[in-house]
Amino acid sequence: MAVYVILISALSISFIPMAVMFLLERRENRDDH
Amino acid sequence: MDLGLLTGFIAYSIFILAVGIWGYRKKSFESYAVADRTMGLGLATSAFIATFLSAVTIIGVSGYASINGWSAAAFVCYGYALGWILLLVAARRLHRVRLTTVPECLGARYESTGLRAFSALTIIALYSITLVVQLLAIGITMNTLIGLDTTVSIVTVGVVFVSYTMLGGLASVLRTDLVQATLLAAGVLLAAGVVIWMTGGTVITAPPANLGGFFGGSVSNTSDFIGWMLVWGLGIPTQSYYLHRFYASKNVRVARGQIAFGAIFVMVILLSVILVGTGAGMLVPANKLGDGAFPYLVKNIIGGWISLPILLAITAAIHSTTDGLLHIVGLYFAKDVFQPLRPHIDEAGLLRISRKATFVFGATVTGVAAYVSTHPITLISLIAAVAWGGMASTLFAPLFFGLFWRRATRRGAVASAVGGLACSIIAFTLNRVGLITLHEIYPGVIASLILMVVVSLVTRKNSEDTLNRFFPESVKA
Repeated sequence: MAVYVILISALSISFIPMAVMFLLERRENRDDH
Repeated sequence: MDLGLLTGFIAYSIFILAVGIWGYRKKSFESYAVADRTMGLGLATSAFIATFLSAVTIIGVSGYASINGWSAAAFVCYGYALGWILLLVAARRLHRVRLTTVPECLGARYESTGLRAFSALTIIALYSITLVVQLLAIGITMNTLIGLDTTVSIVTVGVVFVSYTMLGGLASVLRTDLVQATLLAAGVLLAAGVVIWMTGGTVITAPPANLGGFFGGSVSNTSDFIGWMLVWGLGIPTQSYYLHRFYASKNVRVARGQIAFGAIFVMVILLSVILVGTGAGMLVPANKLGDGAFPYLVKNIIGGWISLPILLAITAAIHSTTDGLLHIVGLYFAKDVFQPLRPHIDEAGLLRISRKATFVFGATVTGVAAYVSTHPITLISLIAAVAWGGMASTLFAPLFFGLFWRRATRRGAVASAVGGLACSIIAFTLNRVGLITLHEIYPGVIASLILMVVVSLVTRKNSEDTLNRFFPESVKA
C-alpha cells in the first residue's frame, strides 16, 4: 500500500513546478495588461 | 574483461566525443559561455534531465534503496521537488539581467568584486572536489561491470569529457546532454522493466516489509522527512550548473520550462532507479547491498546484452554531470577570477583562458581521482561531504535575497556568504566529533539568513541604478 502512496504522491508533486510556471505566467500577463 | 561491453563503451565514447567536438566550430566566447543565449526548450529540458541525474544519484540512490527500499523516495523525491520550485521561481529574475555567471550576478547586484571572487572560488573549490567523487564513482562502477582497471576507467572517462567540454563549452555540453539524457532514460527504464519481470511484479505489489515502507534508513519519522526535504530543497537552487542555464535560455518560457517539464521526466527516472534499487535488495546477496548493488545486479543477475544499455546509461549519467560541473569551473575561473584582474582582456582572450582553465582543472581532477582510486585521501571525502551544505550556506541567502529583496545590501551579502560558510564548516566539524547531530546546512543557512537581514538593515542600500536593473517592475510603478 505504501508503495502506491509513494508512487502517486511523488509523481503528483513533480507536476507542481509546471503548475507554478503557469500561475506565474498568468499573473505576469495580468500585470502587463 | 567483458569485451562486448568494452567495445560498446568505446563506440559510445567516440560518438559522444564527435558530438562534443562539433561544438568547436563555434568560435565565440558567448557560444562557449552561454550557448549564444539561444537554447530552446527541447535542448534545455534534456540538458536539465541529464545534468540532474548524475552517476552518484543513480549508483547512490539505487544503493540506498537496496538497503532501505522505497523509503528512498521519502529521502530524496520530495526535497528535490522543493528545489525545483525554488529554481523555477528564480528563473525569470536571473534570465532578464543577461549576465554570464552566477558570481557575476552577485558582484553586479551587490556592487562587490570581492563577493564575486569569493563566491567563484567557493564554487570552483567545491565543484572540483565533487568532480573527483563523481569520477571515482564511475571508476568503481566500470571496474565491476567491464572488469576494466579502476584507474584506466577514470582516465578514459576523463579524457572524453574534458576534451569536448574544453573545445565546445556549453554548446557542446548541451548537445551531448541530449544524447546522454536519451541513453540514460532508456537504460534506467529498461533496467526497471527487467527488475519488475524478474521479481514477478512483487517489487511494487508486495515488497518485503523492510523494503516496502514510507519511512526507513535516514528518514525514520516526519521530522527527518522535513529535515531532508530542506537539505535538498535549499541545496538544489544554489547549484550553478542549473542557475547558469537560465542565462543560456532563449527566453523566460525556456528558462522556466526546462525545470517544469524536466522535473516530470526526472521524477519518472528517479522512481525507476528506486525501483531497481529495491529490486536489487530482493535479488542481490546481502553482502553485496549498498553502492555496489546496481552494478552487481546488472553484471551477475541480469547479465547478457541488457548490461550494455545499462552501462551506457550509467556512463551517460557521469558524463552529463561532470561536463556541466567542469564547464562551470573553467568558465568561472576565467570570467570571475581572471577577468577582474585583467579588465581589458578581449572576448578571444577570455575564450582562450576559459579553455585553458577547463583543461587544467579537468586534467587535475582526473589525475587526482586516478590517484585517489589507489591511495584513498580522507580529506577529499570530508570536503565532498561538506560541499552540499557549504554551497547552500554560502549562496542561498545572497542569491535569493538579492533577487527578491531590494533592501539586501553588499555588507549583508558578504556577512551572509562568509558567515554561512564558516558556520556550516564549524557545524560539520562538531557533527563529525559527535557533539551535534544536525546536518550542517541548518546552522549554515540559518546563520546566513540572519546575517543577511540584520546586517542589510543597518547598512547602506545599493545604488538606485543597480536596484533598478534588478527590480525593473518597481521602476514602472
